[in-house]
Amino acid sequence: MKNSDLLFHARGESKFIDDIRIPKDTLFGSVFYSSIGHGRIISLDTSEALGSAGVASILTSKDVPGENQIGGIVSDESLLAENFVHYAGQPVAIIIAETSEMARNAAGKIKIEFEELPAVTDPREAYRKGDLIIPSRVFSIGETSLAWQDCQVIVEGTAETGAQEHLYLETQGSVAFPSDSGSIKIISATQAPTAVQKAACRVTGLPMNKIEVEVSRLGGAFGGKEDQANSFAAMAALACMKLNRPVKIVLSRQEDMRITGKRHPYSSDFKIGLNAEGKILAYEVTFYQNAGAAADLSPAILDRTLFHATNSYFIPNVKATALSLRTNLPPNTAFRGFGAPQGMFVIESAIYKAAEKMGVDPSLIQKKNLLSEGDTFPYGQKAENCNSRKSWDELERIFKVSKLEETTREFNRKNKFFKKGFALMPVTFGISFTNTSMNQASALVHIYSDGTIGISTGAVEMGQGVNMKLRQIASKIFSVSIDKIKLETTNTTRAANTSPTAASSAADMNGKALEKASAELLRRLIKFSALELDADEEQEEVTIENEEVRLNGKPSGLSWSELIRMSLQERMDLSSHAHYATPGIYFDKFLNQGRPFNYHVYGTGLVEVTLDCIRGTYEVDSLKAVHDFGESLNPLVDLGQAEGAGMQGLGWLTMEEVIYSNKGVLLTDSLSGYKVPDIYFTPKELKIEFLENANNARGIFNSKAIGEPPFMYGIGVFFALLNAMKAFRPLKEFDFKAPLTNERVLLSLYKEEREAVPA
Amino acid sequence: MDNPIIFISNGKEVRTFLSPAVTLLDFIRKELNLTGTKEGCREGDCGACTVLVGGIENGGLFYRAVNSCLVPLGMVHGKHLVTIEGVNQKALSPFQEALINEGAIQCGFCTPGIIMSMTGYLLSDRYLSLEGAIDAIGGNICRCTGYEAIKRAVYSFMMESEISLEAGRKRMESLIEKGFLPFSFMNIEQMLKEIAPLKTLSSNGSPEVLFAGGTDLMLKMRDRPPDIHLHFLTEEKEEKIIIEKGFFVLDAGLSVTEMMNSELLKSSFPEFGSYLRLFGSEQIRNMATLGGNIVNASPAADLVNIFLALDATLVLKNKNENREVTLKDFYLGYKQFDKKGSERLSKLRFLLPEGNYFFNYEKISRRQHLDIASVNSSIYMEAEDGFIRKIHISAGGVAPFPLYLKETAQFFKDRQITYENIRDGALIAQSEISPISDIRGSEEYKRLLLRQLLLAHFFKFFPELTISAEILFA
Repeated sequence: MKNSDLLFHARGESKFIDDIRIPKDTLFGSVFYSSIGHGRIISLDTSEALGSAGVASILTSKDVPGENQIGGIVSDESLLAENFVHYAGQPVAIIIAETSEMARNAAGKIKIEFEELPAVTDPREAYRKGDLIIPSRVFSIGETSLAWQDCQVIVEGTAETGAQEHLYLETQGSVAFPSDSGSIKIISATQAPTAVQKAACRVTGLPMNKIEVEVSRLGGAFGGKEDQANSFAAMAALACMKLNRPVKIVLSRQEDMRITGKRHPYSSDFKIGLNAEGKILAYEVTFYQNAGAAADLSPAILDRTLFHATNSYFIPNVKATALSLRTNLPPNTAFRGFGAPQGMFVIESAIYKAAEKMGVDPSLIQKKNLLSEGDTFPYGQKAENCNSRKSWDELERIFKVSKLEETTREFNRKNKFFKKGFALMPVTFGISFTNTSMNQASALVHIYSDGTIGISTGAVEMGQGVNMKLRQIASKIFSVSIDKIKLETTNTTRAANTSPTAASSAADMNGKALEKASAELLRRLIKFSALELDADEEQEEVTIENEEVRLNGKPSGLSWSELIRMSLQERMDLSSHAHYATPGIYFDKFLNQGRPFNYHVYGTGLVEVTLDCIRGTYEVDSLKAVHDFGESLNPLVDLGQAEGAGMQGLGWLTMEEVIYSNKGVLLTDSLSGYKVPDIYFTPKELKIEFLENANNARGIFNSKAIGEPPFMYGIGVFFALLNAMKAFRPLKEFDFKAPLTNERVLLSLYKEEREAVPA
Repeated sequence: MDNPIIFISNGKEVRTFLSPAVTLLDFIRKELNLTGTKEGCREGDCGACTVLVGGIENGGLFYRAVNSCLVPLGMVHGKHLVTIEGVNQKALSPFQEALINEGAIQCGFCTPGIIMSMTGYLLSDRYLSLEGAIDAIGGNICRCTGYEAIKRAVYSFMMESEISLEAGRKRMESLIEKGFLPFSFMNIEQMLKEIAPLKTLSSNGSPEVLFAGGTDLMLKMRDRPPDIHLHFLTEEKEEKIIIEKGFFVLDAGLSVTEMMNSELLKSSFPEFGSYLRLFGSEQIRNMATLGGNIVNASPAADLVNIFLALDATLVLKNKNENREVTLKDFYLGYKQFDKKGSERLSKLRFLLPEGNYFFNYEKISRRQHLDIASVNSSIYMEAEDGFIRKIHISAGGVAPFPLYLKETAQFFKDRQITYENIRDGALIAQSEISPISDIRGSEEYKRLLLRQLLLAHFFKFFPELTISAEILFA
């Protein structure tokens, strides 16, 4: 079913944050931020800027009436710097002016003096200094210390992954409007309206019922607007309250890149032990997470790294330690996968290195250790409805992997300076917020007197098609045309206390809440219909099908619109609200055991590359996968999610490189320096197969969540490249250091030791 | 200012007294309130702000897709500005329809830009092809990365919609008939003819900037004074590419697209078009000029790199006097070159290739397309009986300015093409370059990469050369 929400997108008529109509008296805000990575503020002089044309006000930490604090999990992040700056890009002041140009122009006239302090950008250095955001976290199962003695092969190593800039095409932004009785309405580009509401309340000192937050849609988010939209909304609200005028803050691309955090870089140490047959017996890993200057969502991301440290493999003895380290970088934050990709990269590196030592193909070890039904994850949950092996086998069958091995070998024998490589990448990803209390959602459904339906939930539409899926759910339950169903904006006055649209779970949870609310309305309508038709509900079946009431399967002559009209006449409540809390999940944060996930998503990916060994460049020939969608609610939407996530994963491991100076200043602060995949980079073949006979009783209408899991198929590109590189330099061992840019490839191929070229 | 800028915006005449230096994107969004055109990066790297600018050229109406963030308002005087709102009709166009049907729209922020790029391609003077259609949207970033679905959409509408492949008026008529464009496009030519050219105003002492394509200048002018005076050179083009007395003569105002499509250049350099596919994006290539690339003096300038290896000479015009300087002597330091303030770069010329000649251009960047080279290199070589008789080699990204590898070329001249000579020549190149570490690569990488590119030139010419390990890993 095609996504009809897209009609307006295709015409450019959908309004994003910078497009919404604003009153004539709206003021514009610009953020003045630190240019250095770490320092003490000696002086801040805003006088010249204040006198600059069009400037209405300049706000600093002193102007915050509430708390100058926006830290969610840990209260360690001020909205505006006070005495110290902890990263380059940290907001120091907000300039409010008649136009955004005037505000930016004035920002250039603020004079600030620093005493520069040493900046730390490396998480291991922060660890040596003991600068942890939260105490270390350890997940373990079995006893690794006893298991090593049973291992025939033990390898140790280091693996590193880089940051990733979200580069949502729509930058961060908010507009705050004064409204009645001292209230403020904020329209924000956020994945988390309630988080924005709370942050704005904290800063302004207003109670939550005086701040309304609304979201229409986002021009991409990918996790970057889960927590980091808060500050800009709070700034707009603060200025709006101070000046009693609407205030709009929309970042320029460069401001956005400099100020906001990214996917966490990780550096990790691993040790893996296997028996002679390639069965993994023990795995120890320590993750050094580069959190940046404040906690943001880092502790939650750290936990997900641990949850997915063993990816799709059953390992009986595991000890995974995770450290979140404070550095002088912008606070790193959620990004599709939420720490899982970083964790999975390490186990894949460990397997690769073990395979190297054993002289076998890594896929043999991967396959041997895949999860089976009932296997226990290191956090105590058992794999249920486990499609790990099934997706692997299907991938081997559908994409003829054994033939691929042959053709690759043949190609590499024939070509001296071009080499091909491929790698398989199984993925297992848990669905639910790992913080159990966040797994709740609500829906409010109105049926209007003309029979049309309006739905409000806590889900935010950001391109993932959740609005379409929700409409489909309502359409299915009421059996009315999807054209009669509208998704309203996400608004805190209609959906209160919402969880962010994140963790791939918005369609699941809000869909379930919607199902509940709709079912209640349907129950009322059926009861009413039975009365009208003089039917005995116990004996006879009253249903609504295609906008018509049926009695025992036969048309009753009562249409949907007539039914609605009549039920209103009889003073029936045609609105319903429902709340959903994911059942059966729990997690003990001290024992680190429980059943944190509602279910898991499984799949297996395959990436093929061709390497130009002279130039050090490469092409991604294919990204293929067999993915467990459950029974997809909307295959076209889900396919787009899977393809898009996979492409982002490819980007993360290849060309996307965030570079900071050793003083913590972002050097890749524009699109000319930070490159993301373009249409030419799309693999020549991008093929996602839907795993057949997949179901999921725990999902809405048997479906599964989709947003994040396919991102990790992209990890396969790293190991496919290593395989191609090894085909050229068989005796070399390459670092597990991502992204594998053209530069890293060429230097790895030619650096240091000499080696004969294969004939 | 007393002269208004007049143009047709989506079929309606617009007059404004705003400064010609105002960014077109801002004018579209803030003055015309047309918010379908999005701001994504403001530096021509994402394509979200793509619009069409149509004008009368060589007697016909000609449209090109441009990044409106890189175009000053003054440049659209007398032109037809087309935004997404100007192609929307009651019914969706076949391309819009295909994008929806194939699931090629996710967040929707990049979509209007993609539609405009594609419309520009359909309206162009090119013969339509699937590859060309993908090139046309190569400068549009979709971060949700629905590229696969976008490709499906492109293929499906191209296969199904039966647009006239033949360029020109006939194509436009068929685009209107098939629902890609509103009927009002038929009236534009006449409307444009009625707008008098913008009088070149005297600068009145305010700073004057010579303005060609603007793709580099607009970035530099971000903090421009509002009264800056732009002297538009685009209207002053002469005959663009000619062969004269054994020389190719290229007008400095040539756009990259024009060079890319030149049959004349192709006749001597069959791969010229594919080299230039690596230059910017369709939108950038439509605007960026030869002269602009030369005087912007980027150390990795792609066109300069190519023309250095063709040992080109520049013609600088000062009122009625011409001065000539070879390209290899033109650059003096970082962003410094041998051009006086009153001089204007007017032409570039180089000898027609002769005999058994080879030409090759290599460019390596972080991303293959729409990216600045980490290192680029071009080579021109005439050889006979295994000996190099004439050779020019250039290297970009490895010095403060685009480099002509003089000593390396000298070494190769009259030498035999052997492993040893290639190896030794590549070594000499290392002594001529002085790369620095930056976001385009470390010094170590750039040194290694240049060596690899020099080898790549020879491998390309002589694929039968079996390369010994000694050369490769020397």
